[in-house]
Amino acid sequence: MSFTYTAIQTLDSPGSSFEFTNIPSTYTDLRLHLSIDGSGYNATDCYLRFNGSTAANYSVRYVWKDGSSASGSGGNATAQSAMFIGYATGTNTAANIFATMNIHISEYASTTKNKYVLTENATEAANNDQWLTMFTGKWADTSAITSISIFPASSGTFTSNSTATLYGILKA
Amino acid sequence: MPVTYDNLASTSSTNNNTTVSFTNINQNFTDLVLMINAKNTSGTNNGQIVFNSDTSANYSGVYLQFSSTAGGDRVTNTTNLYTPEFSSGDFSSCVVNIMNYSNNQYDKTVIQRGGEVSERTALWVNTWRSPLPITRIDLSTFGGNWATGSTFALYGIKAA
Repeated sequence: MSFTYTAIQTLDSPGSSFEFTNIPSTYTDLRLHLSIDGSGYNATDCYLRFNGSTAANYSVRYVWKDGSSASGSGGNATAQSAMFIGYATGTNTAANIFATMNIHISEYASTTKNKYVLTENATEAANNDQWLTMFTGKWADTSAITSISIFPASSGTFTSNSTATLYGILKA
Repeated sequence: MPVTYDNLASTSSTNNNTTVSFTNINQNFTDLVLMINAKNTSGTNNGQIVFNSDTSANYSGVYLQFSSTAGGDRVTNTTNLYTPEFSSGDFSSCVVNIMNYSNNQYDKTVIQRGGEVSERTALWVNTWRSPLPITRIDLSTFGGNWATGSTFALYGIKAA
């Protein structure tokens, strides 16, 4: 029996972005666990890129629910130069609260399939308003993923003690 | 380093398979995680899971989703467990967490995330009203088959 869920790398207090590079191709899926606070006002929009690609090959669809509205909402975007993945907390969030984000990347090392992403995100905006968001994403590119960049919108930054850990999941 | 998250079995659809099965599931873990990257052969349909070959009306589920608008609904007393949808237009990922699967006293609960990006994204919570330990999982869809190249991997998570 083998250990199949392995931490590859943890990054801490990254400033403007988390950069995972030289990702080994030895796993089947990747999983990213983030605890993040950003420089946006109410909540900080976050994005992801693979292999540094800025080609308009990212698409996403998401469902969203906050603590005050009776019903949820959502959205979708196609042909984007980066993938929207959710929200870090922001400067208007109460102190010492970090958003949680789990990102699952299926068959990241495949050279025949596009890449498919699932993201679960919980954050808190101003006035203790908690947001739940779930994303389905696609990178229309068959290249093996060797690097991942996660960054806030509008040239923002992640605050100190924001962390991201990349895990590899191995299929027998 | 203790073994806490292990691949129990993996399979793929090699010829537009109708059903994918995991049998004789190891009972030594606490939870199960099923990771799917799949495509349907015909249209867009929910997947369906059957535990232990139980096709009695013992399954229920509730979901939150976004297609062109946000919404949700529930299904009750169904003869299988609904999953997020799979499309013939593209592959999509789905992660299924099955809690306390080897417990022999309580009903089983399931959380799922998935959906094809051009059509729908959904979060499901389901129950299987049976105290039996889960020893077998069968996956199919409500229409069409699993397209060739669809992959399915079952993992066990062990509590400390």
